[in-house]
Amino acid sequence: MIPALEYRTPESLEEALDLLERHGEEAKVLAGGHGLIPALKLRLAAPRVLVDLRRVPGLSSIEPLPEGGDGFVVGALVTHREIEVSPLVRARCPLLAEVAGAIGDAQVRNFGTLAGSLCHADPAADYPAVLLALDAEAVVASRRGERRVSAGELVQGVFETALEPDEIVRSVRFPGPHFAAAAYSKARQAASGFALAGAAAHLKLDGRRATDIAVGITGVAARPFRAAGVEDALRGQELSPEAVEAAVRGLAAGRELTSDIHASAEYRARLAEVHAKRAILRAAERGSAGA
Amino acid sequence: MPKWPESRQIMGTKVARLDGALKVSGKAKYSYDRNLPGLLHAKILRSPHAHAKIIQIDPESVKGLPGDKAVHLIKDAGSELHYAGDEIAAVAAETEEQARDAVRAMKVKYQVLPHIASEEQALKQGGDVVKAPNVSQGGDVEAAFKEAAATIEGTYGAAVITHVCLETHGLVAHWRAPDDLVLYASTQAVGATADGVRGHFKDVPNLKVVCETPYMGGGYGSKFGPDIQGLVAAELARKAGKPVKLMLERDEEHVAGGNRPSAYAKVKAACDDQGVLTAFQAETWGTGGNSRGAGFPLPYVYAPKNFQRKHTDVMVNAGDARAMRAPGHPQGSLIMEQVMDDLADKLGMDPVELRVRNLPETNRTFQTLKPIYRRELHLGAERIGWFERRRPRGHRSPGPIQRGFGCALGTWGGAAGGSQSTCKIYPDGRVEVLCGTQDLGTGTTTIVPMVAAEILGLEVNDIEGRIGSSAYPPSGGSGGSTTVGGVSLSVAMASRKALGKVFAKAAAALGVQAADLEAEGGRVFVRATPQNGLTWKQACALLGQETISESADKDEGRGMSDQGVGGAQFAEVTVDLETGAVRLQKLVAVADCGLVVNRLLCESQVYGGVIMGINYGLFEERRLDRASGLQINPDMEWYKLAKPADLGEIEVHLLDYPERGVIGIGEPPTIPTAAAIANAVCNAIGVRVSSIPLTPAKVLAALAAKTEPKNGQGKG
Ligand SMILES: Cc1cc2nc3c(=O)[nH]c(=O)nc-3n(C[C@H](O)[C@H](O)[C@H](O)COP(=O)(O)OP(=O)(O)OC[C@H]3O[C@@H](n4cnc5c(N)ncnc54)[C@H](O)[C@@H]3O)c2cc1C
Repeated sequence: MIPALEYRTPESLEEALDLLERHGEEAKVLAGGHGLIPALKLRLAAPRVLVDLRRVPGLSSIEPLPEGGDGFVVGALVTHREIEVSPLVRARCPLLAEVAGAIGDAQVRNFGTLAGSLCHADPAADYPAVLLALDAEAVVASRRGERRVSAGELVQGVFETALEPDEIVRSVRFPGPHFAAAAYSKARQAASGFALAGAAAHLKLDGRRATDIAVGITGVAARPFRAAGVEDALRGQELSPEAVEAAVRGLAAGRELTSDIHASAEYRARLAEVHAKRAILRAAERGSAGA
Repeated sequence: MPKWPESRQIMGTKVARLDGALKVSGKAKYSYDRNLPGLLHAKILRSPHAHAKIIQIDPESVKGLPGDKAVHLIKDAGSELHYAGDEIAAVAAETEEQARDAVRAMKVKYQVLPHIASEEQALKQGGDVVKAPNVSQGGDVEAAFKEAAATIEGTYGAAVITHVCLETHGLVAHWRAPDDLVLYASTQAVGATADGVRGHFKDVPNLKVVCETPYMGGGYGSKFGPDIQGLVAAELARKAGKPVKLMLERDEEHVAGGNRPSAYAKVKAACDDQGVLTAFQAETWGTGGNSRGAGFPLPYVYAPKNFQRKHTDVMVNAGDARAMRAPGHPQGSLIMEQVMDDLADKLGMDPVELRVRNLPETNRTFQTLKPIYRRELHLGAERIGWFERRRPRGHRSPGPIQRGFGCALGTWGGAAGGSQSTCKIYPDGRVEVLCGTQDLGTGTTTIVPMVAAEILGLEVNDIEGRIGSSAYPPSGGSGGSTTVGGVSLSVAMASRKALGKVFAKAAAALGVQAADLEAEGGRVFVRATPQNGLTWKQACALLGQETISESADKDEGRGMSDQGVGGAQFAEVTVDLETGAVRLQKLVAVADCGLVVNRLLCESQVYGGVIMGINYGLFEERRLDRASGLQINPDMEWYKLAKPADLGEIEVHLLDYPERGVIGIGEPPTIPTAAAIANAVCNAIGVRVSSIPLTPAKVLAALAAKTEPKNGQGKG
């Protein structure tokens, strides 16, 4: 059972921000509810006021960035499913469509939102791997104004973000450029689909050689991270299976890894390596197929 | 006279469950669906500690809470609590939420005691948590080891799993009068449940207790009596003067609803150069909770001349084991069949061939199953593509995905259980068959009218089967795969007797002897001149005002049932060497159950058994937290069962031996599944994973532990 609370449905972003300013720590924003409602049921969160964003106009679209290029911006209420099937996302950044389609099940994808997932900061969430690899950033609004926070900066720890209580993520920006050589690979927790380990690879290729490479890892630690060692080892290199295999080895070494009923730290470390390898090799394959 | 066992028209065919539409449309009323006027809801307060003593308990502390109607103490101050989930008290309230709040509000003081959460911990600690070992032996193993052509040593094991009945344990208890109690219970034994509650209320003179279970959602051996919740619901209902519903929640079901004990074994075994098992030595142990044993048959199926076994039960602070679908046998098969594969590998012999060479002439309990096993091994091997597609253990193909094949055998009894039935035939032609059995989802509801229709020469839909009530003729609990045998026999014999009465009337009307008559196609007619006869209705109309009511016991049906079945299963798996993930690609189950009564239901039992076996082998494990002793996965999210996509292709073959009569099939198909999968995984990756479930992490650990292929492994 969820303890009694006040449920508000603001009709504009200003009204929503007003409510947050007024109630501060006692208020919680509600988007798709697939992170927050379970948390309320488990009494992990007990807000006094629930501010449902779903009547706020202007948060539900995916738009090209006005400055040109292949960048775009995803509104706070855009669901996983909308991202998965969006022609714009599929054309400009198939990696984001791929990760959205890898989340949970159809019900979850129809309700959950990208912004909600980011703000929920579940360490097993899928998006962070991709958002880190793509250098995406959240557009954060409050009565005090607007700021941009990189995905890596926003997610601070287990269910912990850099957001102030009065702030709302109004959208997530993907500045681009986005390359065809990209892939996401994950080990799914059997029941929910959450990532035991997930790896996103985003490559700029010259033939089989990676002129640039970004590898984002989620699921294995309190915070998602970029596998800088892997990136450094492979930048400028031919992406042979052997080279990639060697590069991913020990990618999580030195980090404090999650150990729980689903997987031990050692197993997670292993999964992170395997899925990083698979993501990189699949990305490389896609890049050369498209070239 | 008629039909079965001489010939059959309906038995052996596929008849869809008569209650299928009611079930899938939600119209079938299960215990949980009984919402009587004034119904109260009860919840049980359970021990939050794995081991504790109640210092003080104050039932008055919930008095006056919203909706509170009645409190019942199950344990008093001073009582010891043996596991997290042990019952302490129960409260009935107007709503489920109020009952839950009341239970939470109950004031109890505990003295927390040290607990044991694992078998290793118990063995390490010793003392009274480790029971005196049980030793059995025959022949001379040491001498046999000296002469062996191949010897293997291995460690094998299986974790505790729980039944996970989709319908949890529980009931609605309703006192219709001070001496008239009706229970709507989810049970495998309507009779024993009613009797158990009646025995509890010795103070009520002439108490009438009836248990009604028209539908139930699975028991698998865990629902044979009223249990504590049955007695408690009846107590609360009596105190409150209102009907009370007490259904366990999923977490209670896991911790208190029973489980299958763990089984671990250190085995040394040997065979001669012909592959004949000559010596089998095993040290085994397991836990059945805080007071139950963890016994299982071993050696299993095969009967080595020289064997020695030492078994030790260890106690942990967890809920007690209960019978679970073929109690002991899946564990026995798992251990024995891995040993047989390891021997085959060591000797370089095909595992199917090695098994054939070891089929026992006489099974300990039953007649020889040798020809049946041979047929099954042959058919299963052919269906899975064993001889063409299986590579020797440890063979590597390029890439991370490796394929493997494995097989295993199982055996079970399945004799006809005690059963009585009454067949009533009315002057208007209606037929009612009453039998105090119950349908656990196995299809007994459909079997009863099928058998009666077979005997009476009618259609299945012409028969009104009445089961699922202790008010009907007693038919025993549904366990040991004994229901279909017992029920088929008692229904057939009661129907025969009733038909004899109809024949007597018809014979007089037709001017022939009753012995000259036949009943078929809805008619009663003279065998020699079939045109000379009556419709069923005409024949029954001859009864006038009389209703026929004939009862029979299954013992009257001699030679119509048998016991002793063998089953073989073959698994094909792929294993991802990088992630350790196992995928079951295909499982072929060849099952034997004598006369197949209803082919659809029978296949359905085999599918269900196989699916449970797949879960046992790959996914299920009750996990206790070492520090607190609490189960950390008492749900269906973290205790995750296979979804359809995890199952692979399941192919079922039923061998027909109608001459053997009816034999039960509920339990046997779940026996060899996990063993076949474990053997397939070993075949794929070249190493043994020490225990089931074969989780990805354990598979990886086993692969990592293999530095070099051990002597004798990886060859063959
Ligand atoms: C069964 C199940 C399976 C799942 N499987 C997966 C999976 O495989 N992979 C995966 O990544 N995720 C999975 N999820 C999580 C899912 O993706 C959630 O939808 C997501 O975590 C939260 O998004 P939401 O829109 O539902 O947010 P909500 O639940 O509404 O909110 C989550 C949190 O974010 C805050 N919040 C929401 N929107 C904003 C905003 N715009 N600004 C500021 N704060 C905000 C809320 O206050 C709350 O604290 C699963 C969830 C369930 C229930």
